[in-house]
Amino acid sequence: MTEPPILEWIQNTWLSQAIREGGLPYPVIGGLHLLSIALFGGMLLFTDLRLLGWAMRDRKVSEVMLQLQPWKWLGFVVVTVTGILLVWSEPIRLYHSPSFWVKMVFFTLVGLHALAFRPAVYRDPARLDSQITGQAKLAAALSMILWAGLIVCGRLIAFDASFDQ
Amino acid sequence: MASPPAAAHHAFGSEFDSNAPVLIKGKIAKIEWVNPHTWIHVETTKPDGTTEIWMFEGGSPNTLLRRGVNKMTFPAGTDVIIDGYQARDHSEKRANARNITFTDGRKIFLGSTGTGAPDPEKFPATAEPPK
Amino acid sequence: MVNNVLRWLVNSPWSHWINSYEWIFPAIQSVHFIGFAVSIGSIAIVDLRLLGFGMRRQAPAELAADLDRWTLLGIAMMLVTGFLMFSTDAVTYHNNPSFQFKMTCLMVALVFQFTIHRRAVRPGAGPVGAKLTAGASLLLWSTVLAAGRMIAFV
Repeated sequence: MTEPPILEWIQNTWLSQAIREGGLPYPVIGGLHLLSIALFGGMLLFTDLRLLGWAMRDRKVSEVMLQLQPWKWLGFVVVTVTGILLVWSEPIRLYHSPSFWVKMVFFTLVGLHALAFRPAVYRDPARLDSQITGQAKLAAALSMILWAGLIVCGRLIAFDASFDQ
Repeated sequence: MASPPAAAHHAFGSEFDSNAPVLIKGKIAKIEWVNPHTWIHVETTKPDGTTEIWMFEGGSPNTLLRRGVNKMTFPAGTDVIIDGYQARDHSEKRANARNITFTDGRKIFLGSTGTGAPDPEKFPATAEPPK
Repeated sequence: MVNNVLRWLVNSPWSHWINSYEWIFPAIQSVHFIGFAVSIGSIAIVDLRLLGFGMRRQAPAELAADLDRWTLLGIAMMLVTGFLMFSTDAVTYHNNPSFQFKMTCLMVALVFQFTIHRRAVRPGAGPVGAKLTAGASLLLWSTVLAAGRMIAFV
């Protein structure tokens, strides 16, 4: 199976080679990727758990959603940037990895989820302080499933025995 | 002496068969010095005179660097003996590397710990060269 | 003596179970990763608060009270999945320097969490001590995670 030529171009860049062939950059970038899941993933998780009414029930919904917002964004930036660097380091291998593509589907769904639930849930969190709507609970449940899916698929990439040579 | 653990954990077990040791004598065709695993391609001559190339998966560059080797330790054309565990699909000429031995006697353990590969000291392979 | 225990773990019923089906180890490892978010994530929310960031309208004591059960759940998830994974290859993990370092840091982090950290979230705890505790906590848990990542790279 031939890959799109751009992948070979990426693979030949200095950055790609440096991460792919270096000693520490690859595990450090991977470590930061995981660290952002640990430090910031929890904030996303607890926002969802609050919307479901399972955690932090004495705190106002809007407070949980809004006060951790900048940190959740920071986490999203770190996880995405490190993810891009990991992809940049071995685009051809990942092109052949089924788990990688499933993960990208989940990632797209995360974006669609944010758009779809913005009007009813995320745009105006204060509305949920008096009553958590069914839509909000659905958004939270789907969010947890999507992020779990991202994590599982990410892990499975290492188990795809895909070889290009 | 206990038999090697049933290998189905981590990346090792999903790809390689700890009950299928292999040993190859040949020349290094190329080395892929890449994360997360290095790959050493070895060209060996079969009894019928034809050649074939085997791919051996080694530890990460950092793992090998810590053992005192680098990309330059494996120039193409070098005579080596390399052993390891074959891929689960026995039709594939691919294996997880254990040790590589050079003609000057240097022996280097190429595998990684913590990936599920059998402990090299505890489970020496009684490998036959492949048919 | 230690090697006998390790070998027993490798041959334990759960190790055999995990080793029998290819998908079980990655499944357990995925739960371990999700556990990061539950354990370290909940601790991070409190630590951020101790540093003066995040959920500022609540007192650290209130946040800690809210999240304590989740931190415990998260730690339980990590210890159970960690133990299961360790069992499958106990001898090699035991001998892996990054794993050894991780276990040392983990023990320090756990003791720290249930002693000094508990005191730092109480009302009336000194602000400087609270900030140092939060910083140390974040550093310790990050190191545990980093050492875990490095297991396959040493």
